[in-house]
Amino acid sequence: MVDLLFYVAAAVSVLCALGVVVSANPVQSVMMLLGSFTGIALIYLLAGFQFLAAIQILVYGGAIMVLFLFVVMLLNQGDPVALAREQGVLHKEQLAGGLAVAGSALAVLLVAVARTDLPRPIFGYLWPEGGLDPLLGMAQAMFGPYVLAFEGASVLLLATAVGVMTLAKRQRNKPVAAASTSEEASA
Amino acid sequence: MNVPTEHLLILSAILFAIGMGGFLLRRNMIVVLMSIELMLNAANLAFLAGARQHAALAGHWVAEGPVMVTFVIAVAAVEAAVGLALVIAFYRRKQTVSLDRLSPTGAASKAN
Amino acid sequence: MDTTIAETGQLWPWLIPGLPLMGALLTGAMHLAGLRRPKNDDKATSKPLAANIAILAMAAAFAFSIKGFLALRGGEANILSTSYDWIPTGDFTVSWSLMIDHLSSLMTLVVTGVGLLIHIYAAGYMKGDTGYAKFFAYLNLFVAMMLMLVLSDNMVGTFVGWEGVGLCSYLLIGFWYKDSWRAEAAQKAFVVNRIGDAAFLLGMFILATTLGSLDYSAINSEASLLAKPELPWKLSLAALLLFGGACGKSAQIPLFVWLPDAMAGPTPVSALIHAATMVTSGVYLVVRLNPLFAAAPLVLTLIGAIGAATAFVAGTSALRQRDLKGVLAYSTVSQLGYMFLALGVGAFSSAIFHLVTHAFFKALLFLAAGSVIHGMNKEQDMHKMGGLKAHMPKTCLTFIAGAAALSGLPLMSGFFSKDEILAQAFAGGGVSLILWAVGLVTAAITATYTWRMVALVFFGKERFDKQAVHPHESGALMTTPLFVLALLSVGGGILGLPIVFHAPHILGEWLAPVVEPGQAILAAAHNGHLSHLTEWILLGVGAMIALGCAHLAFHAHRQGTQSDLAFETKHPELALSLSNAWGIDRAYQVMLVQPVMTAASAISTLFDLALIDGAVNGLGRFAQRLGQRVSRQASGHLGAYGLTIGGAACALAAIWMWIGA
Repeated sequence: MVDLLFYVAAAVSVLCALGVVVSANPVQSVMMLLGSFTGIALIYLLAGFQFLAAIQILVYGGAIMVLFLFVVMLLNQGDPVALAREQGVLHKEQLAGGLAVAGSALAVLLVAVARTDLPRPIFGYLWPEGGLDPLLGMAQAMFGPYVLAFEGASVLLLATAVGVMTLAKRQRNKPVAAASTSEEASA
Repeated sequence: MNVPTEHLLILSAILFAIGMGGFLLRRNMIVVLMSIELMLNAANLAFLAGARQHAALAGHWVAEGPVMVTFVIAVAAVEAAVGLALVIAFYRRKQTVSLDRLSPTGAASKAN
Repeated sequence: MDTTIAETGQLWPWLIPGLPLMGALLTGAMHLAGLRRPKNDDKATSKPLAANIAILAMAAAFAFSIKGFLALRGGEANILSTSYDWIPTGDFTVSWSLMIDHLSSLMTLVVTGVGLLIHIYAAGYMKGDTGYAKFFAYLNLFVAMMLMLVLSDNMVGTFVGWEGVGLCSYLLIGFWYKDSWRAEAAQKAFVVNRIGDAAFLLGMFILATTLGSLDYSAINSEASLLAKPELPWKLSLAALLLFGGACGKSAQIPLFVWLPDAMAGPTPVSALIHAATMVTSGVYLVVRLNPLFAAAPLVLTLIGAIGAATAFVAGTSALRQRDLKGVLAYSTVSQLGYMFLALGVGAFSSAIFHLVTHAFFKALLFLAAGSVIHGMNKEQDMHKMGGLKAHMPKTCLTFIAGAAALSGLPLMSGFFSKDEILAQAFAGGGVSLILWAVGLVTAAITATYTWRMVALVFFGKERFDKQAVHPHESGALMTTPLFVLALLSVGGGILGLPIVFHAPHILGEWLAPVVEPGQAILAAAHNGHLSHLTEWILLGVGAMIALGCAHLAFHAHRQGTQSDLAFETKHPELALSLSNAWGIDRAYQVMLVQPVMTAASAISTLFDLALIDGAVNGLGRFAQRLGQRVSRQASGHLGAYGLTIGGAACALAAIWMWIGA
């Protein structure tokens, strides 16, 4: 029963992922991506990673997706005019090349999985009380052996905050004052 | 859940290939960024599959996989934020988010 | 040699080569500093300073040489000064160490003493030259290297000095390198010396592998021991090769051709390097290794033969030179031949005696000739001189003193040293008698060309253009060294009076500890001393020949150039071949240099241009074309980049899996 749920979630995430790639409307892509992430979060939960499943929903589904959606809306990407303008001029060779490379990546990965001889655990897969990512243990690992990486990540986040502010701020040398103020407000 | 690790890895491979295809085929920068997120998620899934397998064999949970996934999520958030900021800056300049316009004009016109 | 092991731990002997080296560094730095200054800046302030530093360094080195000499006179032991092990490899060790023994002490005295005088002279001679500081840097460096050569207690150290003096010789011959013929002369000297140096190195390798040491004391004691039944052929070969090296440095047949060309350098250089010191290092080497050479009788005979041949060939060539320095150059080669003749008959201390007196009178002659050239506005052709006695009396006087010594007029230094060599050759008997005869003929030739030179330069009519040239005496800075050297040339004979004078042979006694091992080995071959009567007769014959030839030559050329021209019209071909050293140089040119040049140009077209350049250019073109092709891929399309990255990643992953890592 639980196993069946996994395959359902897997099918949902794969289909949604395909939807992300193929839908012409970026708004639709964002929605599809949200679906895909939700499926993956379900799989995390099923596999025993409760904390990470929550993180997946909160950070990806909550924060990053909203950010994407926000930008799409901001740039009017759902607009039919914009859609028409952004419609691809994908060449046949480009299409073939992209498909070939993606296909070969899939092939290589599948062959790698097939060639990997993983031992089947005798007592089944663990699903302990706190899951496979107990909060206390995770915290101890984060502030123990991985504290340097953790601090690095926090510095990276800080730098990102500063960098993004600088990037998104409109250029000062823009001549028209009125336009600049309106854009600044929107940014 | 008694799904074998291979199936998780296969799912990860499929998601990664889809993300790669999107990255290679789409011209809309926002969608390209989304494809990158997809690939990162596929990688996360592979990490967790490995952590799960490891835990099953060792008899206790292991920290490496989940911790790595946490960091990947953090980096993914950063990447999305910076990427989207770049997209906004680019859009301000060129009034478009098409990758073709990112290419040098000569090359872009040749490609068309 | 038991006396070799001596006081160690004293480092002051290093000051003897060290001080000139420091002088060279200082003056060299001054030259480099001078280069940076703008041209119109007044450099006059630094000029006397450079000379003063160099002269001071030489004087200090001379003082320490005297200290070493006095120490040896007082005590019996040699002074050994080891600084550190240079090449310690298992059983074989080479150290930087100096040894002051009776031979090296004498050599340092000559090198620093004559060198000091020449430095003082050069301070006047080079005045006004743009490379003033550079000249003294080179000159000081040369002296440092020469002292390293004579003071080192092992062959490797000597080789360092050997190469160093070769380098300085090259630098100083080509000092005025803006004249291409001078630069070519420097190159010729360098290349010809390299042939000898290669032989020297090979000989050194043989000694190192067979004897396991390159210390002179070890080599000499081993050679003395091994000589008793018969010297191994390898060691004879080593002796032969070392003599090859000596041939190059000391300008003996077949490698003498560079020395006449070396006169392209400034005259003080000719005096110091190409007359007094560097060219005698071959003689020094043979005497230093005298047991080895004494134990190889065939090599010793060859040395004598080559010495005699060189003395004769160069002497006859000197007869027909018109260039004042050319006469002196060939004369130097000829006198070096004498020294090797002496070595060949086993008269090691006689060779050193002649080396010392030759250093005095040949340096004097060169410096006096330099004074003449200086006063004559760089004119070197003797046919355009004449009658200079009135214009430069001091130079004339000292030149005549040097000429008297060179030609072996009775009681002059050259008389005693030359006649000692001839007497030793006569005493050797057998083959040595031939050497004696050649030596005697050469003595006559020497007297002839010397007094021809004197007559042409200082006597007779004034043949120079009186409007263009105003001969004048040189300053005191230049004439003072001349007088000192003249004194030494005249009185130097006192160092080695013949036995018949019933006075001690100072130099012979001084060198006895050094040459004893070699003499002991040769004792069987040598059949003792000459009777007093024979010796008197030999002395008399030598004196008669010198006086007679000097008289004839002087009066034949006193009138001017007629007798030269008469000979040239009478025997034009002979005159030409004599003036070109019997055409040996030309023969080398035709037989060796031209084929090598032809081969080199052929190789340069075939191999260098076609093959190497072809390969290099081909590779370059290939890379260029490849780059052009590849650059088309860098279109700026992100999609294309992504495709490439993804495809490459897939391929790498596939390869990785395939390998099974």
